[in-house]
Amino acid sequence: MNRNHSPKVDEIDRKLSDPIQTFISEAVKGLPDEQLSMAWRSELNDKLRLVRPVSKASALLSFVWKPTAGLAMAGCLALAFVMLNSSGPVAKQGSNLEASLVSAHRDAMTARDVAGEGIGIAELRETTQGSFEETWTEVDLGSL
Amino acid sequence: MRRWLWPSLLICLVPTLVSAQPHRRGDIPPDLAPILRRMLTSSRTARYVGQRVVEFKNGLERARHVELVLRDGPRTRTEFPDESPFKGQVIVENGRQRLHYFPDKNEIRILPQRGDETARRLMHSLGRARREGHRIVINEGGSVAGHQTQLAAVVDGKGNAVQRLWIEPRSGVLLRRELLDRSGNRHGFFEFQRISFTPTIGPKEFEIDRKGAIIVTLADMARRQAKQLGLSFVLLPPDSGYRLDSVRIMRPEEKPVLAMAYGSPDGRFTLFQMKGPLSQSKLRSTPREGLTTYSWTVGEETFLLVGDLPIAKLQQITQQLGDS
Repeated sequence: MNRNHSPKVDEIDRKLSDPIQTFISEAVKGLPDEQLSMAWRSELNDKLRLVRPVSKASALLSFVWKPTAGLAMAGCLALAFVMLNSSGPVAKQGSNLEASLVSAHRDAMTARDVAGEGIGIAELRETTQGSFEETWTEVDLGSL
Repeated sequence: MRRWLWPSLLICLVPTLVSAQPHRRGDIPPDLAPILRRMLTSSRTARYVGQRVVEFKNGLERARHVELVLRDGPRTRTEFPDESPFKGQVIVENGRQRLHYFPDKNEIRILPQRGDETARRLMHSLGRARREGHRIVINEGGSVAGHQTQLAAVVDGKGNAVQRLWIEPRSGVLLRRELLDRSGNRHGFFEFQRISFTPTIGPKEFEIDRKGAIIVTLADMARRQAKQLGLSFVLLPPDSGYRLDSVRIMRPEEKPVLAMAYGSPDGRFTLFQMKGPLSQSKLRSTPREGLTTYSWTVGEETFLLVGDLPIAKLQQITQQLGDS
């Protein structure tokens, strides 16, 4: 039997040719073609992502490897920056002996004002043990 | 009648001449608050025994230690607790000189008294504060070492405290003092932790008698330390009007420097002596905060004066320096 001419197929063809069916078909064809909104699509994707189960591999990629890769790249950039700007060993920051001396005078005078008759800055290093002073010789005391 | 004329004139004139004399630096200003007047006179009259903590800046560090102090007017005896790095040392001021005993070296150093200078500097700081337009604000100070105090705060024109003094009102004894720097941080302070105003004072408390001890003067120390650094020995003569107060070797920026501190009624300065040059441009650009500086070189050595004296005075000092 030829399938195209079976009673069932004929029945379906007759129903599709019905005027009401034809009217609805034409009406649907006449509807305007709407372009899908990107914002809507994005929102839909977000919603789907929430309900879609995330695989462990994806989670590992998102929370571990991606940040690690970012840090590694930043570190490489920083290293490259330093190496490019480095002109040999880092030079010692300029000293300021002059300011240190002025400051030392100020510290010593303040210490005298608060210490009064007690120990001042000049005696600080002269602890009972470990003083750097050597034994006096007759030459040292020759002026007495 | 005529024989009474000149005595009568003298009797009339002398009080006028005396009252016309300007106040010397040693005089307490008559309009100073009573609590401050009592404080300034207490250094000559107070009697107490106590324990105090002292702290001050030393470069980048803060040095802090505890002292045991006995005072009978201008005479003092300072010792240190067993746990102190200065254990066993004794410092005595007997009204004429300062004696500092080092037990490990069996050495007694003869030094100028500091007590008088302390009181004079305190009065000078109050006088200068008033000349600079600072105010002295007095309020209740709370308890210090178990005694109620009055707090005298010296504040600048903007209300920033530059100094605070906690005074026991009955005795005038200064129980706590704070000196603040320009950023408001504490530059130095002391505070009594306990004190008694009824001390028991023995007959030889203000003497140091150690047979066999080596007697050392500041001039000896200056000579030896100059030799240690390979520097020439320079000292102001005793009649220069300036008193050598201390000598030490310091190493700022890892450079050995001999520092000699001098004092006088007019002010204080430090003479720094070192090998090698100083940068004049850096010296000029260094914040002075009221200090003056003057430097010069002799051969390979550089000298730097830093003090609160006018520059003309510092220049005069260079002419007085010479070998002892």
